[in-house]
Amino acid sequence: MLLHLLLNTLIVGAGYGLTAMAFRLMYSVSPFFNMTLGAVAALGAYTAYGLISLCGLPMWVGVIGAIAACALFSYFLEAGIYTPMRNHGASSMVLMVASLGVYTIFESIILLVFGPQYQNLGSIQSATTVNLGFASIPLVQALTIVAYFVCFGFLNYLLHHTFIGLKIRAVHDSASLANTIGMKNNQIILLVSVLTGVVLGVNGVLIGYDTGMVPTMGFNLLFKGMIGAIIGGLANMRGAFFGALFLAFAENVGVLIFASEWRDLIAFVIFITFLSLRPKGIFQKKEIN
Amino acid sequence: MKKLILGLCAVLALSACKDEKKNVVQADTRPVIKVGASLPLTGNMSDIGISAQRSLQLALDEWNQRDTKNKYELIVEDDGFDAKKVAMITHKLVNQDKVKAVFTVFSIGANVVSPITQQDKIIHMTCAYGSQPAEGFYNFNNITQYENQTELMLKELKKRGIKSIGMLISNNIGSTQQAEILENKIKQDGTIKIIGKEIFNPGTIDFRMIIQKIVANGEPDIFYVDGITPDATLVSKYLKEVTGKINLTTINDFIETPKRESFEGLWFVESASGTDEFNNKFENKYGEPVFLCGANTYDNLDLFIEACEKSEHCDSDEVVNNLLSVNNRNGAIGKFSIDDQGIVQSEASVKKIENGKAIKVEE
Repeated sequence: MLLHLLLNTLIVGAGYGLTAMAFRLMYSVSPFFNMTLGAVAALGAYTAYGLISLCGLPMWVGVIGAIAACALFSYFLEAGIYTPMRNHGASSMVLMVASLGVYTIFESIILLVFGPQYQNLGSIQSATTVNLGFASIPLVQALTIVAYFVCFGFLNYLLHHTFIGLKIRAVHDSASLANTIGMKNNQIILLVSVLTGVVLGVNGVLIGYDTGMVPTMGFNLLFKGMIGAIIGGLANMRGAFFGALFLAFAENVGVLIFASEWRDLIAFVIFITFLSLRPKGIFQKKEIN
Repeated sequence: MKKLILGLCAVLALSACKDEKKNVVQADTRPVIKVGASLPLTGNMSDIGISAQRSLQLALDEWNQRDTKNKYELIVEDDGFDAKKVAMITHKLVNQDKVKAVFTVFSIGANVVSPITQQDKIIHMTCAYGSQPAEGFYNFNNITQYENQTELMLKELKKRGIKSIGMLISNNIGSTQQAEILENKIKQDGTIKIIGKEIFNPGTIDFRMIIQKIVANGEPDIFYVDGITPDATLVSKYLKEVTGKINLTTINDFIETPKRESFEGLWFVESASGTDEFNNKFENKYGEPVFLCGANTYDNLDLFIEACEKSEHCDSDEVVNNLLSVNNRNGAIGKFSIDDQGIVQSEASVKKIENGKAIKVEE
């Protein structure tokens, strides 16, 4: 049972983690609760569905097309809506409300185009499985775990070992100071929005293949990812990575000890507990006086 | 300029005369009877809501082709499977549109509508589980009741030699009530052991640990799922991943979705639903199969219009009395009667999914 618990923690945590890392990455340069991140992931799933299942294109074309669409969508949202608003001095609250509006419009468009029904990419019963000895899991779940580690490794490398990463961290630490020394903050934010779009696109496609999609999928996805990121701590990528795992573990333990219907309650109790007692999360940033 | 204005006036006057004449020719002096429906056209249950909407339209179109005493108009509103929206829609239909009857599906909506229609003396016909939707003189419920369905489920489980069962129940009023009745029947009977019963929240997409938790107490012969779309699909997926096979049954859930490949070959209990004749008629018109409650909703409107036509002024009390006299009628769901509580009495049947269609299992 313990092995199954750990395995399911890893599978569920990987899904939460990809969203958590995307949320944390975007939040580091544009600190507001961006609801449209959920819409970007949903766009990934539905674009792949449109290209592969409806247009009959090869899977690889559909997957790449979906990820590219997410990157572009994320870029245009940032360039077309949030950057102009930020330039006009919009507060985080105003940006959040705007993102809620964009999310609602986007959800309605998905509803109109694809209908309200539950859809899935390919067959829900995965034919290809990966045997782990004590259990076998569908290939798509194994790929989600791989994507989770690869994404974490890539983003960590990018942020801590490249010049671009240095700039992103500079904007994160102090946007006004970065601006003062001549950095073009908006360009950095646009670049980050593209990266965020790619991560969410990958996650959206994987979810589309694994558990399928409904037009409202974006909100729940973002909410769990955001909780994971906040539990872990928004100071660095490790926080999002481990926070998502911690959340998945707590939910699964909750299912085993209490009842399945308590799963969401457990997530929110942990969320509120952390916000009250340790608002900066597990991995707090060391303050330099 | 004057000539131009005079010319325009002449043209306008002539066209007005022409329209007037046209109106006289096409005027329909029959009284207009408006009927309304609050259905989940969006959200998880939209397949069923859309199917019910089409069924209502089908019944209305058929009646409008006949020489009727009244003219019937249908107003359909989307409640998104949300009780608050149902309440708003019902008040709008009753107070603003002045409908003579309201049609709903599922207890979430029906339980909200029935007190309103009872108070305003408006006919309410639904397809929802439980006795509550039919409470009151003006409310009618057309679905095979829990007792009948769970009785047949228990009988079929025993017939198939099932010794143990695992239950996965969605945390919504209809599913939990039905599961409770089935659970009590199984316990009273005593021949089948309930290995585990897990209640999950609507919207749950990860069932691995829930199934693992039940399997940890010993793998049951069969799992029973009761939820809303896509719960049964996801449970079947995780059952295969955890146990390597899909040993699953349900009451109705397999036909609540058009994507039935996961349920191929599985048996289940279905409440009285469309006859072959009705199903073919529906599929020929809309190109898609009818879902749960579609045939029942067709019968509901059909019954209402017939009762309305029989009465002098389509007065609610007269309509109710006509409806309560329905006995051994052949409708879209087959043979049925309406009891003095306003509940349609019909029979459930055992079916299995073959090539995506629900086929009756012969005794």
